[in-house]
Amino acid sequence: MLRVAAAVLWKDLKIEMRTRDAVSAAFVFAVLVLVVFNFALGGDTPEMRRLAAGFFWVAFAFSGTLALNRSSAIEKESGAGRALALAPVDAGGIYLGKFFANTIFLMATQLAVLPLFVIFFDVSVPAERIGWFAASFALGAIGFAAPGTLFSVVAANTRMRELMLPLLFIPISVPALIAAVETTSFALGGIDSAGFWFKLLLVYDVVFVTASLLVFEYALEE
Amino acid sequence: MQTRRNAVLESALFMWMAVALVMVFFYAPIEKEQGIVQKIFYFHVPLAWNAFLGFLIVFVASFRYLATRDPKWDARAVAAAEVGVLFTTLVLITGPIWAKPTWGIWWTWDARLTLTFVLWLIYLGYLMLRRYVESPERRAVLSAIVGIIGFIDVPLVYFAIRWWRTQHPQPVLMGGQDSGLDPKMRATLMVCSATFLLLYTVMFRRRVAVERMKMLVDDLREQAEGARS
Amino acid sequence: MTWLFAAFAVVWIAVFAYLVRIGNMQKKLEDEIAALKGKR
Repeated sequence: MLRVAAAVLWKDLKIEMRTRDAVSAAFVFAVLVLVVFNFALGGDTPEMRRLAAGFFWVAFAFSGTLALNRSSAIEKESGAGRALALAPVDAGGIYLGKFFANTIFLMATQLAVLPLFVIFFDVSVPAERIGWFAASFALGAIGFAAPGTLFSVVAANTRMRELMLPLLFIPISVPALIAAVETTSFALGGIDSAGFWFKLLLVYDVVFVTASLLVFEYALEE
Repeated sequence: MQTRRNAVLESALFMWMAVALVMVFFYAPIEKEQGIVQKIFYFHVPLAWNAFLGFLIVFVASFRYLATRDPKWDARAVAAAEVGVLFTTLVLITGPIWAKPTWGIWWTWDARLTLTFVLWLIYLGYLMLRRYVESPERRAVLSAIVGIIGFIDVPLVYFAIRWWRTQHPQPVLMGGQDSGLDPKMRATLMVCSATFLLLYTVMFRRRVAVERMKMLVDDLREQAEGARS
Repeated sequence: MTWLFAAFAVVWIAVFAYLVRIGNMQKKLEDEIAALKGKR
């Protein structure tokens, strides 16, 4: 299964590196969302800084669905999806490969947006919490990629893919979203403790990677 | 057809509903602080409980469908989801109607309402997914996936929202009502819960029957086409 | 209290509306089944 995963991961990464569709689309959209927030909600105020983590993850949630959409669209467009489904390989491996690829794309988007985020909201990470900051980003990205990879394939089978992916995926991601915002807030020094949230995010990640992995073969059926 | 059992259930439902209404309006005492509006509680809570039960049925039926590929499980899943969403919608409507005169605001992001709202979104997604998939087999498989994943999410949503609400100050505390219920109130609540369970069952069974008829129509049409060509 | 009445009314109307809709669908499908069976 891991060999399949690695192969799929490598394929998705190569395609993305050549076209850079997913990450650039997600990056641009995230920036737009942050800019809109700034204009709509009034620029440099202490409230904005306090809620900075929330704005970041909102931008991420929306731009992330763009990136996830791309990942399954590639296969639908070229018909490679059917070949993939018919190939006698472990569906779990395919899921893992796509999941890792999506996580990498999402984290790449996060890193790309980070400088702008720091500048717009004037935030900084206290030195002792940098590790937590990285953990918050990583666990959050995983939390979105885990069900997101599954749902992007499910949505690709429908008439209205662009609507179905966010509609299915965002309510499911609510626990991860709340936890991601709380953990990032903690990492930015805004709140004092976030032990529960880190644990919840970790549990969420494990549960959803496992569940999506087990169920993925059904999503691939023709 | 199971019309006899349906008839029995439906007449039982009428009786229970009559009893429930009498209890709500004449037996259950009027709450001291909230007055008569509090009686919405006797519909609001049973609707919520049965909606949740419905989503459990969606989960089980989805599971069974993927295991057996028997279309009757898909019929049960969609019926449970539809009635469940209907009940949840009513929870979300009766909640604010109760809240406004009682606490002065239509909505608050308190733990229960928020959880109900997220649940509503998840299963609304389930129903919309079904609308956008043409082939019946694909539709059944894909919705089964959502039915399973959605339900797995529920405990996580519950804990996340609960902790989120205890951490952030909330304007309204709705948690008090079922701790220390007057025994008459509790009895009324139990009767109403049973009544709504019966209501759910009646609606569910009819919806399943409709779904199976749809499948039969599709089959017959296919046969007719086959015979012609 | 009108609020109480409103809440109960919403619930009743919604439930009845759904049951009526199901009833109509049932009837329509029964007719269709009879027609399709009759054709054979």
